[in-house]
Amino acid sequence: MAATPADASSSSSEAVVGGEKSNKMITLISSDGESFEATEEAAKMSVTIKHMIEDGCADDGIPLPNVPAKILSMVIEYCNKHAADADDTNKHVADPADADEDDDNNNNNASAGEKEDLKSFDASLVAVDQATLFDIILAANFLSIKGLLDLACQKVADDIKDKSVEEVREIFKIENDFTKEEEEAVRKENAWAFNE
Amino acid sequence: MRDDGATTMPPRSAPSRPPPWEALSLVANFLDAASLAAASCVSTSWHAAFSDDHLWARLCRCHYPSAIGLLPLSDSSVNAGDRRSSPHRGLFALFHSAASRGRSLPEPRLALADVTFAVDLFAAGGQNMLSFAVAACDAGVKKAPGGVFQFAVDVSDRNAVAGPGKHWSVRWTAVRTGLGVAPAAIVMMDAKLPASRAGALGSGVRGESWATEGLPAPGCGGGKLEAEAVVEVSGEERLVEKVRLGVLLDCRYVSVDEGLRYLQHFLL
Repeated sequence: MAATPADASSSSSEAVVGGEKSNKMITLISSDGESFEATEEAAKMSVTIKHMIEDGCADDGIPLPNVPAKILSMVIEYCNKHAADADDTNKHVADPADADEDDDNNNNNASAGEKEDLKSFDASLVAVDQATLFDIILAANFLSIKGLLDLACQKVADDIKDKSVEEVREIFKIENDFTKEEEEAVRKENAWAFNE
Repeated sequence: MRDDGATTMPPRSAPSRPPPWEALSLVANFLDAASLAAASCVSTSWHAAFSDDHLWARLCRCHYPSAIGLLPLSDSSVNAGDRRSSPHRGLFALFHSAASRGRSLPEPRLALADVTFAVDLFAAGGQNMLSFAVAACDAGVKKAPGGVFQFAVDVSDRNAVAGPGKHWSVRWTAVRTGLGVAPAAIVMMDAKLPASRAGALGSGVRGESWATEGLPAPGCGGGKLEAEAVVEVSGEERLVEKVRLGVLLDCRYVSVDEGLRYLQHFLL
């Protein structure tokens, strides 16, 4: 990492102009000061980071004061996995002329298998405690990673759907801090939802 | 909930810090209306996050777009003074409940206490045999829980005799009474009761004659109700013991509420 700032910026502009997927590594720094490396391709899954790279702000590493190390490592894991998938999909699509029937079937089977793999990866990524899940949501929102945001939000939504109020409090360890009158008023206001 | 193993904190079951408001807001977009409403009952912070009027405006636009133009409706609702209320949620709830087919009708606006029954009984020759007026709430027959629209008045102390004629006439009028209201009245029935129905009566033997007559249609398509009057007599001279009044639908006495809702059409 002895490159001068001038060299670094010229190499990054080459990567952008050339349209190649560069293997340049980006340094991301968590709120608690830990450094993580990710490929530029993976890092660009975050629209926020993508803009910073394009604006030339990424050369000395990108500080992310809102994202703790534990969450950042999970976010990078997600980006690595999904950036690779996007790449593979592009490769399959890139050679339609070369594909014969057998290749098509193979490609379809491969992408179906990869989809399954991705699904189970996603599922295990969000199979965490509620506090971590909410931290992931905040990080994904801050970093503008739509896929991860949707994934984490959907998981929380699934934990809320079709559950009673007491069950939701139990799952999320929420204390009921309404006064008796307030709770009565709120239940009344939402009574229509319970009489399904 | 799976411990991810990478955490440096020991797993614990104590309540963790509450979910941040922005995270809840983001999750709200993934919830259906019923889940959103239920979730807003969880705690004050959840309520704040899930009561955001923009969320409910979106749901209204999605499910009940025709309702948007009626927004001023919900502003004038009971909750107008409640700073936590969300006008679009109120609108959503209104239209959601409107679709519910199982809901009960509103309470009748007429009470038994507001109604008096005036009954005149005439012999075949036209002589007035017996007359009385009774408050509906004093004459009820408490059979089924909640009661049916059936009334009985014991008139044996009046010593009225029906006499030998072939029929008796009964006129039953329902009157709305009460302080400070304009009275209104409707004749429930004006019919003949055949004396023969009571049978041949010896000393101490009881019999009864009855008649039914269709009630005037209330104008909303529910025109199948009938009024019934029953006169219980005893002995050879046919002493009138009891008069029973009721409203029937397909040979079943209607409930008190159904009877009151019928009378509402004419007496309010």
